Amino acid sequence: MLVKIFSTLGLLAISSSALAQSTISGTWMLEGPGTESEIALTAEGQRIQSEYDLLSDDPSLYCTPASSSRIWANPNAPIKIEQSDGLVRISYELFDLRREIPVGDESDLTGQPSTKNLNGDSFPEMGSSFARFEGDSLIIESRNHAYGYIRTSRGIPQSPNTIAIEVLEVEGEGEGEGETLHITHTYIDESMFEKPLVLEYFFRRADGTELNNYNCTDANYDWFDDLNAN
Amino acid sequence: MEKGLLLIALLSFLSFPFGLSAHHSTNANFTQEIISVNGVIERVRFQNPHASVLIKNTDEQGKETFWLIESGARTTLERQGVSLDILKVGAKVKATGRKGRREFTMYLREIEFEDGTVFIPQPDLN
Repeated sequence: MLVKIFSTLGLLAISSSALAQSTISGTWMLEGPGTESEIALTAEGQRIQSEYDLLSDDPSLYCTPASSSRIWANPNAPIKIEQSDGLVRISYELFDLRREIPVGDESDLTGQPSTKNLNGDSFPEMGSSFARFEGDSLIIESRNHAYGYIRTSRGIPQSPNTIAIEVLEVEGEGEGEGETLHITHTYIDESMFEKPLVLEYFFRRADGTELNNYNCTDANYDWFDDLNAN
Repeated sequence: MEKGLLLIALLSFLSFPFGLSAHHSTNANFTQEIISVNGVIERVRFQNPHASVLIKNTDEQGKETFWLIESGARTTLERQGVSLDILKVGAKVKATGRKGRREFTMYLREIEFEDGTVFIPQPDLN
């Protein structure tokens, strides 16, 4: 009897996982505004924020992702999610980023950044990640972040202590264009935040949209400043 | 149940005063003040993360100032069917857009040519 129950539960888990994989996979475009919980920075978080200069410190100026939240929350740039061979692959058009995340548990963390661009450059600002399916949700946990900025507009920092949890769920009726990918992104870092920071993003399915090569060009303004200085 | 979740998501949207623009660097780098600058196109760059047009303005005293007129990402503009081919080096234009927080920069709304024709790369932003 017990064998039968466990077999049934196992089959249910497998079918649930397969369902989540099939619905979350595909191409998505950011849709509309997201949400953000109250940001309660620690003294150290406030210090880093106060020293941040948007016009020179934004890593985006140098084609570097400031954080995974900055990359998710970019309008007009498609994101493709695929799954195979025990990996979740997320391709972001922005900066030509490719994120490979093993499906498993904490023991699958390698300590190496999970994200590279097409040139093979690694980005520890995106952290090292592992993923698991839980019901219809895909849950990605990331650690080992380099210092970066969760919000580049306001210099909201992340640190090597940051643990980030992304919960991906597909909502909406039917299949196809009516679907919404809802991501809840929770940042936990006692050195930076008095309480977890929770962000939400919403995406519409865009399976017909191709990701183009981004070929980012360093956006620093030194050459322009020099023109008016002469 | 799903409708309930959608309603909650919708209410969440409405309950927050900031939106997409609050965490997009364009809104952080450019004010809401609309300005116009006359000048001659010196350079056009159709690239990521920002396409841009460099304009040289010469004032009545003959002082030259370069203005960097930025627009969206090349990939975004291409996906919207927008090209910057109409912008030729040497053309006299009036550029209008949102004043940048960085000196002598602007986020492009429209460029008017000498013959009165107007180029608006991203009408949705106007």
